[in-house]
Amino acid sequence: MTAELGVFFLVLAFLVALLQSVYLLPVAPLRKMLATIVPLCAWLQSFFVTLALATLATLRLNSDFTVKNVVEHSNLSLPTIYKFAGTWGNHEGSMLLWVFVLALFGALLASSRDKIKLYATAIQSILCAGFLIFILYTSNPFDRVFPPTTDGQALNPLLQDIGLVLHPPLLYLGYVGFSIVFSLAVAALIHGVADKVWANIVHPWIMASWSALTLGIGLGSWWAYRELGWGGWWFWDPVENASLLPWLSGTALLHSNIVLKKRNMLAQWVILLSIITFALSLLGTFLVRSGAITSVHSFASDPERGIFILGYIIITVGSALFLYGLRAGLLASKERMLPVSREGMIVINNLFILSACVTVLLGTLYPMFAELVSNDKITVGAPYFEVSFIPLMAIPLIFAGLVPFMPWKKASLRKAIIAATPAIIATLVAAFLVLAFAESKIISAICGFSLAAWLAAASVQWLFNAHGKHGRYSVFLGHLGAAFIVVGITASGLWKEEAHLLVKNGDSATFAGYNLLYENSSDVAGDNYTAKRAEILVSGKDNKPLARLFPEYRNYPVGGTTTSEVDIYYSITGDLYSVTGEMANGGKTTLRLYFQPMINLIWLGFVLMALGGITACLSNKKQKWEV
Amino acid sequence: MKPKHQRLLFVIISMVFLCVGTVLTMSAFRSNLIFFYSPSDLQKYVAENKPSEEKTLRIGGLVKAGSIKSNDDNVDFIITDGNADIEVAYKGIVPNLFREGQGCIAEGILSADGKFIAQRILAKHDEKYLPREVVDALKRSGKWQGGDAQ
Repeated sequence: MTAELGVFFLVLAFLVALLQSVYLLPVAPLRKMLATIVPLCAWLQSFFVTLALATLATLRLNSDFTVKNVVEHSNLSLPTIYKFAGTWGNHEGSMLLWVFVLALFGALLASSRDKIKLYATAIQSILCAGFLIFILYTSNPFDRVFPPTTDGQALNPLLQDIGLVLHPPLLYLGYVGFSIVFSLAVAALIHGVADKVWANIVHPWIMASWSALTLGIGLGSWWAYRELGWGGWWFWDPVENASLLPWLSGTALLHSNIVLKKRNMLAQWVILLSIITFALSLLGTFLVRSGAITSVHSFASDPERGIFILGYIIITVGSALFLYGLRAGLLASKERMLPVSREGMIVINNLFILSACVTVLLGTLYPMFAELVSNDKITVGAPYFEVSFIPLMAIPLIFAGLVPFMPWKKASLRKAIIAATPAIIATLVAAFLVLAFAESKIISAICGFSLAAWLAAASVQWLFNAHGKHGRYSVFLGHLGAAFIVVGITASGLWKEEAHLLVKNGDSATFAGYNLLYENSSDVAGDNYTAKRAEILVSGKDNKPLARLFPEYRNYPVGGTTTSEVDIYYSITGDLYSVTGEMANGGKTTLRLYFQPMINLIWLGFVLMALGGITACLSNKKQKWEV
Repeated sequence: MKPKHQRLLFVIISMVFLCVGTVLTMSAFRSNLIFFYSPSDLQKYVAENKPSEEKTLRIGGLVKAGSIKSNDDNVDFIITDGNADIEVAYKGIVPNLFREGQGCIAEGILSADGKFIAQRILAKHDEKYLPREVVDALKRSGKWQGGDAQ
């Protein structure tokens, strides 16, 4: 009975969403009547979707093997936390999570009663209704299976990780968070006003969504680093790119929205970016859910779903862009913008970030189009992304250091550079330090480290200069985070070491300045797997023992999957990363070792950036919308 | 400088940046396209073109039964789609699920003597999972035995 209850909740939520969307009909008496109901509906809708999600979680926790979703993605031996988290570890459940966030944000926005929010809530309900139909028709998580089974199939062991518990919800908070920005943008187009006040309403939503997306991407890459056993953290996998795209346009959006907030200009641009960002979020969903591209993430490949999502994108984004074409003229600003000013620089940065976004988009979508057009199967190699993306992002980062030294309206480049003297000195010092200490790849290292030093020093200087000013912490944290990421990428990208060894008990090796002793291997058993566990003694140059590493080669009998569980020795200089493989002939085991200098700064950077976004979100002054 | 000149300068600089960026991006793009071939396709391709050792390719199919010969960290094997075979040489440690009869994608170059020198064997996580390219290749060669799930 419980599963049918889930469907019932979804249908109820759909009906409420429909009622809510009637508000958009331009009939004045109807609007007046509905104005009081709309926020209530938004809450009710969110409530029903929450109940549906809770129903699915309950079914999984109770291991109800009459439900297809539970049979296919859960089993009795699965630890409880993964029974729960696995709710969104499959296509149907993750779509339910998507709608949950859509409805939740709609409800959070609807708590107030001004006009623009009412419009936005109604638009959000249309977005929600579309996804509810999608779930009910193509991916119902509550489908029964007949006959029922006594045990389920395996959950992919790679998904059995703390990363899974947090990564999808955060990523979705980000992706779907931009839906509310989209709804507010369309509401502004309908209303015909997008000014400072609008920018203030949308500001916390942009910041919150962007922060969640930042954390989600960071967590995803951290998960890939620890679970996949390839020693890397970013693979330019189409699905990773799909999350990077809205992040990039979201980054452009959050900066230009600040211009709208402070200077009351760029309204058209901000509205367009709001639409694009959500469109890219939807594109990401389409890429993952349609199976149009091969990827570690594509757990569902069903053309019908792909077509549905594509139709959804065309209808929602298409009509938003149509409305934009009709109404954007109303939003033109009378203020003149000078290129050498803070807002001018932000616009230039926006263009670079969007160019980077386009290069990633090209590399991600091209294989799909090539296959459609010429039936060629093509992969775009990682070097393409590195060559095109890195320089395109380096330029806005240089500007990001300079912009805080420029005032709004009109600035002087000369004055800005004089003001930035301490940061410039820090940059030069970094370059000299690299020259003095680096042993290889000096030019790239100088570029990377100087850029990071420049950005970090400039943000510290900003913190002091902007003493007492509103929002100073968010700029400081955000830009400092970016600097950390640059250091992490530069150091680990340039000086990563790698070794593949065939070892037997008692073998020793030196690697990346460590002495390693392969002590022995033993068989161990976990809740739902058996494993061969290696034991490696790590000691420093002076033979002082530092740590023991226990990488495992796991075999999951349900589903017949094997994985490598890596073990990492963390130190200030970097990570010593070990992966073990199968026993080869002659009693030898394969052992892969990586040394990743300063790689953890990347994740620290992601966290700092997200904190910057969160502080910006919290420090937003409350402003009421005048109707 | 007058605002007018300033704006002109701004436009010129951005155009230059844009052009340089586009040229760089397109050249990077071209040199990094990796084409996928099934063993049959590759035979056809070799018959028509001279293999270039500079071009990175991907090939995929099943690892032929009885073909894996490993010697320390050198692994030689054959990738087949049932109609055509390609000899592959790889130096390094193969991924966990690299087995005879399993699907496999190799990335590398085709040497002048027709042997494929793999630089990377793509990792797979699940023995039920076959890369879509491999499934298509097997379907085209008529050796596909699975359902229509993919």
